[in-house]
Amino acid sequence: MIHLENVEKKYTQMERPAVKDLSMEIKEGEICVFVGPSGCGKTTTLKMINLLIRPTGGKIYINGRDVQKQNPDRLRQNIGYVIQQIGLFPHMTVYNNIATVPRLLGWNEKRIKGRTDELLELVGLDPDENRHKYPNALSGGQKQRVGVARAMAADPPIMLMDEPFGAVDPIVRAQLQNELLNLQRKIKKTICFVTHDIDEAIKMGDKIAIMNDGRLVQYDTPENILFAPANPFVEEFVGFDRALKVLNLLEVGTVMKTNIVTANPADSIEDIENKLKKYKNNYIAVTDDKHRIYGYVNKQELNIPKDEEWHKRIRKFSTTLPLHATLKDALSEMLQYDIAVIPVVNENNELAGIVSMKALRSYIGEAYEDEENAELPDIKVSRRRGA
Amino acid sequence: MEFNWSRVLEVLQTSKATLDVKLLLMQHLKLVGISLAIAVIIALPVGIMLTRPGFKRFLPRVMGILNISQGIPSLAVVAIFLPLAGIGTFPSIMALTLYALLPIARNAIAGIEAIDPNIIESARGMGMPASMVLWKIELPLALPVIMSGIQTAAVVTVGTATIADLIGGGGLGRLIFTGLSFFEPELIFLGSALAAVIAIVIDQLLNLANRLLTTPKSE
Amino acid sequence: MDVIQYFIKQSDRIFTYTLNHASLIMIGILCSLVLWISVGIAVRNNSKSANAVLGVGSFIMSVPSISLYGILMVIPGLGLSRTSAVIGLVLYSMLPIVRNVYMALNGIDPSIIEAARGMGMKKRDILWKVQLPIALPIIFAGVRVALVMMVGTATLAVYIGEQNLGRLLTHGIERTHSEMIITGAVMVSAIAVLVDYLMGYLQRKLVSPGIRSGADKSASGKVRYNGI
Repeated sequence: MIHLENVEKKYTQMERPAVKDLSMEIKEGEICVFVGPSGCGKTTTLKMINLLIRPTGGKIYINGRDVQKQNPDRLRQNIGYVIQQIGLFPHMTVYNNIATVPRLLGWNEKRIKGRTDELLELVGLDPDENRHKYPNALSGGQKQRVGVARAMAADPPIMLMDEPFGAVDPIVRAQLQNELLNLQRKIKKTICFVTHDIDEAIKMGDKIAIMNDGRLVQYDTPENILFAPANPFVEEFVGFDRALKVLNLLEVGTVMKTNIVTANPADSIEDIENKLKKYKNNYIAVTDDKHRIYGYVNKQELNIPKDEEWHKRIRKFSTTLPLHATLKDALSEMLQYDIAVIPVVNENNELAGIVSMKALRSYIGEAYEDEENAELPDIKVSRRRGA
Repeated sequence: MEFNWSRVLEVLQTSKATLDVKLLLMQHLKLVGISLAIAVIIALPVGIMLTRPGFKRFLPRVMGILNISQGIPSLAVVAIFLPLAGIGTFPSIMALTLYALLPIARNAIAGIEAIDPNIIESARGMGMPASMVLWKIELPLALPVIMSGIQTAAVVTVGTATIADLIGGGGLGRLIFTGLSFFEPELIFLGSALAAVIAIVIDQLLNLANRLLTTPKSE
Repeated sequence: MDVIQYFIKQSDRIFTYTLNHASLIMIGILCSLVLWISVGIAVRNNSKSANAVLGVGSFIMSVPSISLYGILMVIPGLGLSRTSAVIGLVLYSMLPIVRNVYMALNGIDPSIIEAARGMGMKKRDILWKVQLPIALPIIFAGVRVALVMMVGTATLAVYIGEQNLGRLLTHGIERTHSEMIITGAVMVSAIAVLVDYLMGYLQRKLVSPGIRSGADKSASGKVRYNGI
């Protein structure tokens, strides 16, 4: 949808170009994150897409049309633009701020009113309370949300975001990130996102474009960036805690063991014995007839073959994990409770699978074992979206 | 000099042409009004123009000249029009207008330059045409400073108009200078006091106007 | 040109006038500094009195200077004298100096004051050793504005008896003597610009490099001044 071809930006006063020979394609409905150290050209690239900066070389196409041949104002009216310092108009109410582009496009007031209310709800602000406020009455997080709402007002298919969450504290930032991801699940926009934070890039991006010194170093999925960095720069930029970063990327659903043997409190000791023998485990999970988690029993604590009161020795699991928890959460819980296995349950507390430390380690270990011949693990990677 | 309060009252009630206070008052206000209006019409657009991308390169030089000219005494400006344009209402208005251009232009430029660039960037980034950015964003936000400049110019012009009589402009200066020539302190006082009152009243009125026009951005 | 001839012919007189102009201004600025800086320091912690004082200063500024002289003239005991002239000059510099002193002292980063107090400095020491030195550039800028204004106000003081360069202008107008007017206008303007420039130069030299700000551009700023 957005196509950059040999794009270059050279300022006359500077020796080296800010952006050199950049070619890439951003697919529709994807979040593409530009990340890199200060001065790498990521913001410059972003601003060339909506022509706030004019390229000195190369071409940029949006849906096949050359942006440089279009009227810049009209081009930008169809692209949402959010910057770090937001830039809300201080002399206008929240309502009028958001109404700006729709008014430019000639919408009627009724439609605008409906849309502003819709947007305010979407970004988590009560419309009646906030519509008439002026920006100086809003908190940092609220200002950001209004900024995003304003950018989305005319429902542009493309959004450009330049460190949009940089000016708020980490807690609010995480919230805003999750909300954007949630939003994206409902309304698939094409988003170009600039950040200097690699963790944010991994969390937010469908694709990540790592830039350095004006050039595109690697343009790939987060997994590839983590598992197969193109060069030492990327490796270092990603950080030596790559393994941990991967853990945050994957959900427990990917490594959990699903075919687990479970026992029912109504089982007899013989049944238990058979199950233990069959699956060669030292413990057995106990669930009720609705497959909801109950607890577990250790083999050693059972008096096989004769133990009528075995169900009295059912222990409770220290903790459980929801389906969408990440491997990082799993590791964290395991370390906290000093346990080696955690059951994974769904919303109804039904047992979905079991995550073990052993599986975790072997999974990560395999991936990094032989870096030269690193193959992507044969697991479908799902992404953590909105907590 | 001896001072006689009853003489003051006498002068106030007189209708002798040269000392008709009401007439002189009107003259003074006319001088101020016309000069200020012309100054605003010239200085505002020029000031705004200098902040536009095409003309920004002239800005430092022009600001330099404006700042230097600020020091020039008003008497010099008024006096210089005598050899240039003679005496009368027209040279007076020219002198007053010239003197009022400075604060207006300076504040117009300062007001616009002081706007947070992020606001402009997000406006342009949204696709707002440059003209709309000027009218809907820059001017409203710069308005308090611009008004303050006009306020300054108005007060200064009332003052400069007081000496416009030297080149035949009339106004309350007539009372003052007549008093000086004929050693009549009452006239001097009357002219001075009235000019002072007008200056203060105009200042307060414009102050009020400034506050009313500024949007309630703070709660 | 005729003007130059005039200048040469009258150079003695012009020189005397210039000296008078200068001496008046010097007395004026000295009195102003002593008086208004003290006032500014006195009200620095009290915003109510500060506002009152600034209101008075602003009020005075709105009055045309010739009016001020006109009123001073009729006060018994003053009349046409150097005292009246000086009073006029001092009154006009009230606003620029007091305002800048107040703003400068209150505009200092509070953490600096806090650090000083934390070190055990007495209030007096803090004022003289920390606050005033840091406030210096802004105060200096205010003095610069006042001084440049004074060149103009002194010009009109000829109506209250002074014999300075203003005379060239007033006599020139009376007698429609173009050369006189031009000489007068050029001289006072040149002096005003020169004073502004010199003050700017001094400002750059005197202020600690650690706190140089934009205050060393020319006598601009938000001070509303009445240059008559």
